[in-house]
Amino acid sequence: MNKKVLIFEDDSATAELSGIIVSQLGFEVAYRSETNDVLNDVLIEKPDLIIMDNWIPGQGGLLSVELLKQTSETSHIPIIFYSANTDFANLATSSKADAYLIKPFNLTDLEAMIGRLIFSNDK
Amino acid sequence: MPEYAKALSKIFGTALDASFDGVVITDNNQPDNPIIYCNQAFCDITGYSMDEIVGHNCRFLQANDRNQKVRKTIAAAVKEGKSCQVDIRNYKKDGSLFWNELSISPVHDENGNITHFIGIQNDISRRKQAEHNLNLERENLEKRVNERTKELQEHEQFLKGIVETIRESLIVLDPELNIALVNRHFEKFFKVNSNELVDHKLTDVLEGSWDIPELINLLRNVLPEHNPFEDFEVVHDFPYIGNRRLMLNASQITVGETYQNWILLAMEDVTERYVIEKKKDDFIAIASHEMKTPITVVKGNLQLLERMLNKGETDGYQPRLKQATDSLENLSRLIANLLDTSMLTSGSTRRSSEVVSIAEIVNITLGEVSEVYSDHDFVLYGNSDLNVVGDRSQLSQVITNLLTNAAKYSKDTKQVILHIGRVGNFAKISVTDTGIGIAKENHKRIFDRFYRVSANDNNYFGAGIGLYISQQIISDHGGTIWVESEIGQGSVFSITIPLSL
Repeated sequence: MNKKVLIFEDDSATAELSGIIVSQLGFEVAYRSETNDVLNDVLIEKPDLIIMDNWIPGQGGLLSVELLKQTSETSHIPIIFYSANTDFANLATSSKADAYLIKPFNLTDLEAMIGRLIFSNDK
Repeated sequence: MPEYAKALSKIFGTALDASFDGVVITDNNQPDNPIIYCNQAFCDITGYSMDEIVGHNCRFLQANDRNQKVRKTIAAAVKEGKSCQVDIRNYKKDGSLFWNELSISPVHDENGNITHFIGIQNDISRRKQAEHNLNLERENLEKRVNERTKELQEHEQFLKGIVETIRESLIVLDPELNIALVNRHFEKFFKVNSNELVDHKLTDVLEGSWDIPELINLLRNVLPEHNPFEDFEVVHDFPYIGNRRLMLNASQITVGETYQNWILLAMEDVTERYVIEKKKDDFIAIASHEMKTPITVVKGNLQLLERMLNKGETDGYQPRLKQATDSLENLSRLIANLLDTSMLTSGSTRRSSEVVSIAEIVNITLGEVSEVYSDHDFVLYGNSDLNVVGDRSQLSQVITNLLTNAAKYSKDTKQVILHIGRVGNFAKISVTDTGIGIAKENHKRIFDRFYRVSANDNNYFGAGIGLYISQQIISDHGGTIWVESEIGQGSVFSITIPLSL
């Protein structure tokens, strides 16, 4: 079964870019541009990895990460948390995200992170 | 008996001579009351010998100092045959002054006629001098006390003036934290009368709003060890004036016996300043976030293009180039907006004044925006055949901004409606979107310079700057800008601009 990445990103160009990288790695992509019902989105899409933006309509990235990591059905899914916020490193390290990226990022870093995390639940 | 009388007279004479008081006897039966006897002490006091004295009236001792008031007292006593006591200025043989404490008593015969006067006198110059000095000293002291009192009163007035003029609230507490005094600014700021406060405990007044545990702990426990303390921040919901952020300075003072460990508490209202700082911080955070977003896209696309180039792929490079170019365009518009903001704020933009056709600028801007948001449906209706006076490019910027916002925030419905009409002497332009809408409490604030809808509602990033600029431009043109919206119901942004008549 093909691996799937769910991208939460409100900037359509950035979402497209991240999507291209995921596709080129050979994985499936799904998109959401807001975070009003993250849990439901994740339960429907059943991704193997989540890429989450911080400043995004709805409850926002930080609360979404918290919610997903607190919910038993979703807590095992690795999350890459990224943002263009100043001082994001502090915010991200204090969150439960598995990895974080500061925008603007290098595509190779994103690729490496996806590659490292997407198989983490395989035994 | 004559023997006995003689002996007795000698004894009396000796006794009189042994006295330190000067004794003089005058004969009232002879004209002008001449001196018939004086003792040795009298000679010692006056410097005259008895021979020089006998036969004179006592007034010879007054030399030329003849206008003393007490002379009348003596004259009256002598005339009425009564005793009297006076202090009189007399002069010694060498001309030097001495104060003479003089007692005069008449001597009566068996028929009650006055035969003699006996004068007892004392040189009281030293006592007089001491009294005089004492008087001088007293007068001096009184004068000095008056001066000092006046000085203190003036000083107090002066200090009071300072305390009352100061634009900070001041409160004075006794060691038990009872309020001793508040200044006028305090009354004005907290909207209370000092009568309601003075002599009450700090923790009891203003509905207990000063019963702030950290503050009380600070005043009771920290202040005595760390006197004075500065910049203690209190955020509190006070009666009448609402939520306030105050910066407190306190010092414990001891002045004399009365004021032991009294507390002076000065407070500055930093609420507004804090809000401005906060907005500024938010603005910087938003501005940098908004700039980094297109940079991320440019960088990503360039990296993709580089890979394609390395692999010799030529397919699919065009959308990557376009996305990079569009993002750069966004970035450059954002930077221009930021510059506009700072120029509008500093008032350094120069506005041209020409007749501008609404139809023309609406058509141009609509064309540009609909190209960027090509999958949106833009509907224009109404009467756009109107002219206004103003700056063409600034007015275009406002319309572009409203159209862009409308398109940006109605991603799902993708419909933007533009209506133009004449209202009185104004042109009115309304831009309606069917997007997410704006909560009522934010309708005014979204036009603020640094405003963004709160952290939990990330829907309006980037909108703050554009709306602020639009508001500045429209108000410069003598028009107004406002929004009508409800959450989930879309928004209508309207502007009015005075017509060129």
